[in-house]
Amino acid sequence: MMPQSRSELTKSRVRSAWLFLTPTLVLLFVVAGWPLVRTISFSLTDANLSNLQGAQWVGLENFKLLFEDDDWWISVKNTLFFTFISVFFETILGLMIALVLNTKFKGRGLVRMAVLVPWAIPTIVSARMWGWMFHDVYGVFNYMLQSVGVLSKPLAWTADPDLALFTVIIVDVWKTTPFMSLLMLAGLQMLPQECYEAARVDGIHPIRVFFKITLPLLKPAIVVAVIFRTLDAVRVFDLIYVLTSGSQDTMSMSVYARQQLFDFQNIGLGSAASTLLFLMIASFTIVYMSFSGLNKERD
Amino acid sequence: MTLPNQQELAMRIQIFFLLMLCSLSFFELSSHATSGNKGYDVSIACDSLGKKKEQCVASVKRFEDKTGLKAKVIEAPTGSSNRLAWVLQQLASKSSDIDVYQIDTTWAGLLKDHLMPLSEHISKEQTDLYHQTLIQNNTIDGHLLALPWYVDIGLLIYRKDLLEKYQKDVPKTWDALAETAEYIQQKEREAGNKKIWGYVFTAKAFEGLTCNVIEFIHSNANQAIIGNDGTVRVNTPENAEMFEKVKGWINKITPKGVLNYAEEDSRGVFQSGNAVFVRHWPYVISLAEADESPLKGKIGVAPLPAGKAPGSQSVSTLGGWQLGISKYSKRKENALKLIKFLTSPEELKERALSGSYYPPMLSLYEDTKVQDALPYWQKFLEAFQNIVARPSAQAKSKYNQVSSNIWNTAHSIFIGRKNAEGALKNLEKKLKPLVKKNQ
Repeated sequence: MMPQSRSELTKSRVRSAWLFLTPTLVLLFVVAGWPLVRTISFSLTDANLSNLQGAQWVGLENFKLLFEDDDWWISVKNTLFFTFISVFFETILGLMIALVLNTKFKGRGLVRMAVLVPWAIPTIVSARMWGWMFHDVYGVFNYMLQSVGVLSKPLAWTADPDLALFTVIIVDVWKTTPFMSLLMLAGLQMLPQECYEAARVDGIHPIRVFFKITLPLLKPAIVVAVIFRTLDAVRVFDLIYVLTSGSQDTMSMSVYARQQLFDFQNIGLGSAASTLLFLMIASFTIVYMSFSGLNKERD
Repeated sequence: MTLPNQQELAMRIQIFFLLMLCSLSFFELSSHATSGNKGYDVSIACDSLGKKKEQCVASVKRFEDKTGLKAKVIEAPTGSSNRLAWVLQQLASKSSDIDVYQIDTTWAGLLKDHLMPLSEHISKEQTDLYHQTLIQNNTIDGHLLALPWYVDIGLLIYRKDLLEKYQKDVPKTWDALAETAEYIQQKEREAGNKKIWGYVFTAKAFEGLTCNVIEFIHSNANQAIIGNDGTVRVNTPENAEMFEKVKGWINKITPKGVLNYAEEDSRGVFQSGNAVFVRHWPYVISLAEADESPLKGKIGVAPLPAGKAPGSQSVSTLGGWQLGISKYSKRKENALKLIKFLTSPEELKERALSGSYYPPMLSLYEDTKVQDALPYWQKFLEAFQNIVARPSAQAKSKYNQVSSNIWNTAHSIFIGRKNAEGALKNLEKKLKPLVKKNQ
């Protein structure tokens, strides 16, 4: 083959690749890129919702105000606490459920579908439902726990500052564990069966099999699931807004940003809060991708 | 050089879909832009939920029948804070699509740059028909920006049957309320009604808490948080005492859950028979007296209790909705006709009869038909004489921040995180720069 025609073919392939990608890139830019640029530019101004055109450049003033605001730091703390605890429990429970779903039993297909129901119900609906169940006077949890004797007095699950964030975490774990279990189930089903056959022949205890074979082989899937879930958890909004809303004990960064943007009409400060949240997620993603990129090359 | 056929086809399909999407969205946008001039003479954005929406549509229909003008009712988002954000976006873009806006009691100050002043168009005779606090609440920098449409005020709703059972009078002071509530709660719990509480209100960290706080403060010593001249005064010994008193009720006669109760939660506790007293808005009365309600025939209504400092009296926070005209409307004449009709004595009476909307005009309460249509109208009128507005006219565009500071302070005191004196001192410090920026 002549070298020239090969590079011609490559060039045409590259060109068609770009042509294919362009419509999608345009759409992405319009829907995601442009609003992001606008948000970042608003964060550098003192824009107000009732007068967007009159916004003046203030540089990093909004960021400085954020760093001085106690409520912002409380919301950061709430968000990180929520993220770590909920992702931790979702991973453990998700793994357990995935292991169960991986074994063959009658009705497995149905159970797999049923497990997805919490994830499928819109968050607003399930948050309202859980809000009623957790109600301190006519909620069913207080009723059940009191009649069994575990509680002597009803608890104010969503109002008590010590309990409220845990209540939100409980609801989130219920809702998102199916998602985690599904990701890990997919990983489990791709594991090579030879290792397990060899372990069975050697008569190794199942628990050792889990820790020495399953867990190390499943690590990439677990890492992917944890990363996806963490990025999502940092942006938590609807659960907190519907279940508790407004109170400092449970306010997350997204709830704080919304309050600044729409309740206080402070577009500048709210955009700065949103930008910081975006930067946190972006840096996390970049760190992860560079790590996994390095791993790939070593393999 | 040509592309392979399959790839070319796939790409053409992709571009076609993208173009379809773009053209569809352009169609949508352009229809919105030109719809302002088609087919109707005035537009209004009012209540958009259930019965309230039906009644707004009915009122507008009566306007159409009377004047022959065609009016369009535009759907606004539900939920007060969502609606405010939407209204602000419409006004900030100087849209002429909507002429008349139904605005919440506290929004006149927030929207002052966007509403048309009404003073030259509404006669003094007419404004005198309304309770003067309502007019003052809607007057910013000397301009009347909205007319009152219907009012909501805070009321004390109680279990008449329980008070009779234990031979207790309706309490006139907060201390008497606490005492009666505690007594009845204890007796009822001993008799087996384990879940009952004495006094329930809305203490979730939102605007509803600010309404309760205004009543707590003003009923004890009538000192405005923000004066008309902009002075901020909230760190007083009377206020600290009142806050500590209410905090003492939590977990004693008030369930701890109130700290996350919005309107429907506290109503639910009362209506299911689990509260002796509740502070609430008038809509609860008709729901509690409905045929399906377990409390039918068992409730009573009274003005809220007063404090014990000198000069204390019962007060009620002013709620309800007003009607204003957008500055950017191209049909101001028609808009004026619409709001004059909607706030006229005849229409207000009609709305009282068909929807139990409490009219903002005092004279209407002397009409026997209106009296029959509004449950407990005498008690309402008694409380209506002593209404107090939230400091929205003084805080103007910063009202939401002022209110959120007030409710956060109250919430942190009631939840036990801060003591009243320190929290109130902090609140004053936070409010002063907010109000000063406005003057």
